[in-house]
Formats: sequence, C-alpha cells, structure tokens
Amino acid sequence: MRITLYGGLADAAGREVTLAVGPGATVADVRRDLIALHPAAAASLSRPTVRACLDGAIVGEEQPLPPDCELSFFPPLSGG
Amino acid sequence: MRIDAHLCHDPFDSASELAALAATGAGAVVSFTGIARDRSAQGEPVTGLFLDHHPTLTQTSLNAAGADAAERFDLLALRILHRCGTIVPGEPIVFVAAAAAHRRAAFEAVDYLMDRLKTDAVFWKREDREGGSAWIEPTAEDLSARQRWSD
Repeated sequence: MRITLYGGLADAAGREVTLAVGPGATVADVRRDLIALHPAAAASLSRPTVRACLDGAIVGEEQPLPPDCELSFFPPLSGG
Repeated sequence: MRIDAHLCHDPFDSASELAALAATGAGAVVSFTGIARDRSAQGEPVTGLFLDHHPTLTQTSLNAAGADAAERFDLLALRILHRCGTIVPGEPIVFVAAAAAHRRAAFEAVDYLMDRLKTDAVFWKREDREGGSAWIEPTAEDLSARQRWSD
C-alpha cells in the first residue's frame, strides 16, 4: 500500500511510503508500521492530532483499509 | 451569486482582484489580504513560507468554505485566492473578498471565511527562518475564532 504524508510528516519520512499491508489491517496498524519503519518520525506520527485520510475522508484509528484505497496522514491544518 | 475559489501556484495581485470584484456594481465590497510576514511570532527573521497542499482536497476545502459563506450571508459575489508552494515575505498568501448589497453581510462573510480558512483549509504551513524551519499549527485563538461561528 502506498501512503502519502503531508506537512512535517513528509519531512521526516518522505512524501510517499510503501508498506506491505495485510487483509483486515486498520489505520492503527498502518500507523504502527509506519512508526516502526521510520523511528525518527515516531514522535510526529504518534500524535493524536495527526489524522488519517482514507479516500478523501478523515477516519478513525479502527477503520479497516480496503485494498487499493488512498491513505494519507495529515498533521493539523494550517492555512490562511 | 458567483463564487470564485482558486488555489494559486503563482503570486497574485490583490489590488486587481479587488478591482474585479468592485466592478460587479455591488453597494458594498469588503476584502482581506493575508501577507507573509518577515518576522516570526518570536521576532526571528523569516526567509520564506512554504505551503504544502493536497492535490484535490485543498481545492475542495476552498470551495466548501465559499459555498458555506454564500449560504450563510446575503452576498452577490465572493472571491477566495490562496497560495500554495513557496512564498516570500511581503507576498500575499490569501485574499478573500465579498460583494453584497449592504456592508454587514460583506464584513461578516470575510471575517467568517478567514476564521474558516485558518483551521479548515487543507494546507500545512512551514515557516523558514535563518536558524531552521518550523511547521505552524493553529493557535488557541484561531480555534476559538472558528468556534464562534458554530452557533
């Protein structure tokens, strides 16, 4: 699965990260695997204010991930 | 009514954008321009800003803010421009303008939109300083300003 990171998360772990994700995996599982792959980004990735965006919608940690989905992680937004 | 909301990859000119909206013939036109500062909140010199964005959701968030403002306030036209990418101090980051028959709606729409954009627009802002860079997050003031429109 290809995961896209935005803002400061991309600085720490790159814009795109490819992970092997098994059937039935949830957002929480992917977050944990990302942290294991990029320990330097662990503090940022662990923050509850970093939210998962699945196919264009913010979802919770227990959300199961369908195959071929688009998954991103968003730090808190800062526009304007 | 006409709503224009644009994600701008290049610098824009606030004055000409305002003139275009004023030319609609409305009785009241109000605008706000947010400009990249040359000092951080702590007073350090800032060399630039970088605004990260999402390939589709950023534009969607600008459209949504505009549509909600149009529904909430009695407006004739609305224009929202927001930069992405690298911005140098002194350049405009965001421009919001509203045209209405009367001033109250125009003032409130622009005020509302800036509070919305500060917390809901899909951007991530990095401030680049001589001593290093830092990603900016909404302040408590930004969040409470957004809350006041939720009633």
